[in-house]
Amino acid sequence: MKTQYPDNVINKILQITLETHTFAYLAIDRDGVLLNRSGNIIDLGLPDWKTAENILNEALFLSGMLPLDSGYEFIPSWHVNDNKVVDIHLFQDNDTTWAVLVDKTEDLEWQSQARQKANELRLLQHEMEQHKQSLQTPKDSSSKLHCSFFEALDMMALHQNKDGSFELLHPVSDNFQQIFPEAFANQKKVYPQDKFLFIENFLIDAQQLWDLAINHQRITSGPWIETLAHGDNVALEAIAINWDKHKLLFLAIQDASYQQNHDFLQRGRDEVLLNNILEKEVHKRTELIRAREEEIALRLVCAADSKDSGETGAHIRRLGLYCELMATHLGWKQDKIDEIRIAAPMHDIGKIGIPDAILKKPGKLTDDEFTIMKTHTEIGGKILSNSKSSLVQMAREIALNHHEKWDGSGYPQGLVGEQIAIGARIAAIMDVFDALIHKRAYKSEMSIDEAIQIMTKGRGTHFDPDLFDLFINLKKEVTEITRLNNDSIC
Amino acid sequence: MIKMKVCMLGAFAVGKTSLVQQYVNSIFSEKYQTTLGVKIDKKSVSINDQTLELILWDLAGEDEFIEVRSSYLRGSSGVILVADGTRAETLDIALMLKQKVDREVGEIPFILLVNKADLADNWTIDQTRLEQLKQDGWFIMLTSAKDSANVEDAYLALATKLQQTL
Repeated sequence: MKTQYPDNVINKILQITLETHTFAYLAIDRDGVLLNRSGNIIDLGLPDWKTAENILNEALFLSGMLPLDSGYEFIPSWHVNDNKVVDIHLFQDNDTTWAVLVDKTEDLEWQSQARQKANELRLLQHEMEQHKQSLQTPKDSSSKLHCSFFEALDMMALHQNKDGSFELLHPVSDNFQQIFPEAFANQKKVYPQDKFLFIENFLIDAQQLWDLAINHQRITSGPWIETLAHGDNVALEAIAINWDKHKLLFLAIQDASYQQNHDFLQRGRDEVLLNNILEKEVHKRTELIRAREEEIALRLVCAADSKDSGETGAHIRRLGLYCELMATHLGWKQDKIDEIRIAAPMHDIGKIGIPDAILKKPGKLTDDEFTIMKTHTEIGGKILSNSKSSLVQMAREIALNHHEKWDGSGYPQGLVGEQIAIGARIAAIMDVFDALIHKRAYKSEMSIDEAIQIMTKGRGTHFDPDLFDLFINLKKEVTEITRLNNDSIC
Repeated sequence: MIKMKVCMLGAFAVGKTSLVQQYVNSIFSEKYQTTLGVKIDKKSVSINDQTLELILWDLAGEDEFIEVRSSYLRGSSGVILVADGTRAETLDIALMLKQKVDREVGEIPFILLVNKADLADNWTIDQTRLEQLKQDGWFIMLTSAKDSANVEDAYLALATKLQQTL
């Protein structure tokens, strides 16, 4: 049932409508001739048509409408031009068609703005949805781009779910289908920590990073190697990133960069190993030369000492070994240790210049004879002088100074304390020790303890006190050398 | 089955990877292939009716280019230190790595393998130091990944130590 409005209400509605809208009307005959018009049609954007003018060609809203068979037609939101929009009501009254035009420009602007806002809102919602999907299981066009990107880089991007599982952010690439087939089977719930023990360990660090929630911060795992089903090895690396509160994990196949680093490392290490081998070879050959030198030196010393019935080849060998022991415990470098072992046995080489009558005299020497005997140090020094070899230089120092004493009462120069070369100070101790504990033609041997007891009296007068203390500390090792080296080398 | 993580530690080219490959796959390659990164292998071993699964972390050898990451040691139940008998300096690196393990993980079962026993003629490692370490309670074995000498026994020895911690 239609509502019946009282006339005063209808009049009021008409008044409000007329006051709030711009109106115009046109009366047109069947042929399109304007019979009458009212209202400001110019304000509505229409031409200034005159009565009796045929407007059918210009009033396009009348095209096909005349005569108006239905009695009434409504044309909403007719765009008169770019700025004006009108609603057009057409109705027939006998032979006359009436067109009532109502300005709807403002209404339409409002509607347009509302529609714009609505569209913007819809677009925003759409974008948000897309963004959300891209972080989940993207299947739209931008995600396809991501997929190609990840595939090109041989990467797998994963997003950690709240339950600790991971969700793939794109389909699994061919390479990862071989490495991680489980991810291909179920892309929503992926457990790289179960598949890769290395990742299980790395996720502890990753979790700490994610808990800190510092945006865009990341850590890398360093490379690890997986063996595929057919036996090939593939190098991988994991990267954990915080991205807008999303816990992202990337697994990347390391190909060219890994191979480059590997090759670089391999070359570097091969070079170090080769250098090691070469150094060892050089050392080995040096040792051979040194051994040859040592043997020649010892045999020459033996030849010299053959004049002296008191000395033996075994004594020469032991003296070298005692001195080597002392030098080792003094922290000398190996080449110097080797030198003193070879040089010390040459300490009495100057005896080659002493007449046999004195050297082999069974009884006590006269003062003059002893004066001659003492010259063996200088003769030895002279024999070994002017050498560029550090070994022979050390041998000269020992030969010249092994009868010097710490308090300056020795010979040939009466040097005091550290004026005496250290090699000579060491040899002095060990020469006396070995002579005391071994039998000679003119004396019987002493026990080691007796020898040490006698020698202790010379600590700080005859012998360097510090070196003497070291000798006492090494008594066990010295005794062992004595025990093992009784065979003559000559 | 109880799983236990074991880290292989040592200088580069001492034979860590070769020892693992000999133990796990019974293969040996003469060509030195440096390890960059980490390679994990598994092997089950039965001791006193109990089966342990050893998770062997073969870590890149330590040198001036590469340092063992502390995070790789996390969760280790045991350590195999490896030195090369023909390179005396690799013992120093093994000792240094042992200190690192002590710092990062604490004192856990370990053994020291002096590898390349097949090259005994070129041995340069200081026997006195090895004796001293033995006196200090270190378990030391001479191994050869090449001819597999003592390889199985070495892992078994560590596994036995690990089982004793259970």
